[in-house]
This record gives sequence, structure tokens and C-alpha cells, in this order.
Amino acid sequence: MEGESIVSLSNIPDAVLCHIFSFLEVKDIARLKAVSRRFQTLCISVPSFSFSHPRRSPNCSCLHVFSFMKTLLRQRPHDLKINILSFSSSCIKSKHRKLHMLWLNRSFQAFCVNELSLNYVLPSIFKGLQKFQSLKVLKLIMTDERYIVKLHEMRLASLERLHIGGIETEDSVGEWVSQSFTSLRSLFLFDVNEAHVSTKQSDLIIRSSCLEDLTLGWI
Amino acid sequence: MSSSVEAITVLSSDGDEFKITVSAAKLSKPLNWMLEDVCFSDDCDEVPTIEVNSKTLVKVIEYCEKHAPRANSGASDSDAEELKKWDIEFMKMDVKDILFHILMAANYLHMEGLYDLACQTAADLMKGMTVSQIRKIFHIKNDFSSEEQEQLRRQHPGCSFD
Repeated sequence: MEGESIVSLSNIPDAVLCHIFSFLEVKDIARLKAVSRRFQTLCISVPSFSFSHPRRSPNCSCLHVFSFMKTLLRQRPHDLKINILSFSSSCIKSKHRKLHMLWLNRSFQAFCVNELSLNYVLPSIFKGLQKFQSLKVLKLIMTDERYIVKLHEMRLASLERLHIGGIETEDSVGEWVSQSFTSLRSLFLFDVNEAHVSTKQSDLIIRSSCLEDLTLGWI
Repeated sequence: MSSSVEAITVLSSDGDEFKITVSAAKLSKPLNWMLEDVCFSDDCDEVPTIEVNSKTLVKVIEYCEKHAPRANSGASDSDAEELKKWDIEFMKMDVKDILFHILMAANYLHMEGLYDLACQTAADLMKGMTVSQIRKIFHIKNDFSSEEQEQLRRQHPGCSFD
């Protein structure tokens, strides 16, 4: 047609396509990889990955997803950072949660990951956090169930933003934040209960030289 | 540039004239620069051209005019809710026909809100589609050899590639 330019997917620059792909979940990206050679190359370099498990579903696809991610990350250039890894609604099988944590450890060993978002607790995630040295942003807002956690085990000097919620602990939150996250600039605490001070009002004292932004919801 | 100017005229790549209010044009960085650079007084006959076709430009301007009041002044949550609903309606369009044109225009005009909205819409279209459906709707040629295809199948047994 005269004067009418046709934009199809093949005219769209790689950067724009990658941005479109970053709105998709891992299971969709797995399919896109099989569409064409160009898609395959782009899928390997998508900046962010998200995965949500169907809530309380007995038919989980964890193993397929992890096997896909393993292949994908093996092909990904190691100097290519991962911007966000986001997982919501985990599989309830404890074996799969162990695998999940193992996979996370490997990803952090191989890549710089900027942000991690989880809404459930993985085995030894709190102790293991120290190994995630590239991490700048961590979002742990538990929505499925309440967890009792040992916060003092969790520390990471590189962390700049922390969102944490839906947990109970015997530790003092103020002390924990002051000692464990020395570079923290932004903190969001939501529904964090200090078990030992449940009957009286707790004081939150945070000593930090770089904290700029503090948001509290029902602590 | 006179401060009393409220709307400017721009040309599409097809050569059609369009009016856009100054506050709406501010949503785009390049348009904003044009506002500063070009003289818009009555005796000035220079009309800036935007490298976007008429059909797409109509939609882009519609988006700008709708979003301008909120972008310029900030608005309440109920407005934000209403705007979200409007965005969803706005994005109900034929893919091949215009979505990718809008996506490219938003990229070219540095309009972050519209760019993300269009990318999200394109991504939503791909969700749950089979590989062959994606190829068909976006006119993509399958350039894998049958061996490569077989390898993909073996690597990702959980995915359907038909």
C-alpha cells in the first residue's frame, strides 16, 4: 500500500523486543525460544525473569521451569547482568523448594543479580544470603503463610533496598537492620512482629549512616 | 515563543496536520524540545514534522491529551483507577494494524508510560499462545532446521512447540 509503512515484529529493534519479553513469565519465554533463531538469541539475554506457581496446585511445573532456566543461563553470556529475579507463589513440595534454593545459589554464582523478589521462605535463604554478593534490592513479603525467622542470620553488606513483611522473629529488628545491612538506603517493613515484645510497644531504633527512606506498616 | 500559545500544529509523516495542546505535548521529550526550539507565533510558517504516520499519530495524541492533566498536576487515586480502565480500552486494537506502530512511536517520542503500556499489551498477546500461533500472528518464519527443532524439544520436554 502506498504511503503505508508496515511495522511487523521483524522491524522492531532487539532492545524493544527484549523489553516486551521482560513482561512475560519464564514459561512463556520458554515457548518464545522455539519461535525463531532471533527469538532464541533474545530470550537468552532478557534482563528480568519472573515465575509464579499456580497457587496450591498439585500439578507443579517447577522441574520444567528449572530445567529450562538451567539451559538458558548456561547459554547466557556471563557478563550480562540479571536485573530482576522474581518468584511468587511457590510450590509446596519441600524437595522442590530445596532445588529452587540450589538453583538460586548457582544463578548468583554465575551472574550479577540486581534484585530478588520472593514471597515465601526457601530453605536456608537467610543464612545463604551472604553469598548473594551482587544483590542490591531484596523483596521478601510473605503473603501465603506467616514465618518465624531468625533475622540475625540474614546479612548482606551490598544491599541498598530491603522490603520485608509477613514474618515473626525473636530478634530486635532495629539492631538487626543496623548491624546486617551497612549500605542500606531504603527500608520497607510491613507486618513484622517481634515475638518477645508482643505485649508492649516496641521501639525501633536503627543506627545507619546511609538510610534515606523508611516506610513502616504495622510493625 | 508566546506564552499564550495553548496548542501547536504538527505534521505527520503522511503530511497531515494535527493539533496538540502544549500540556499534552510535554509528555514527550522530543516534542517538548520542539516547543522550545520552534517559534509558534502566527506569522511563523514552520510546522514541525513528526516521523509517525497519521493513523498512529491520532492515537498518540489521544493518549497524550488524556494523560496530560494527571501528568502535569498529579491526581487522586480514583483518577488513577479511571485512567487505568481507560488505558485498557485504549489498547484494544488490531495488532498488525496499529499496536506495533504505537510501540515504535512511543519509543521514538520517549513516552515511557505509553511505551510500557504498548509493550505490556504485546506481551499479554503472546501469553499462552502456542509457538505456531505466535509465528502466525506476528508473521515470523520458522528458520530452525528439523534437527534444531528436535533438540529444542528434547531440552524442554515440558513445553509444547506445536
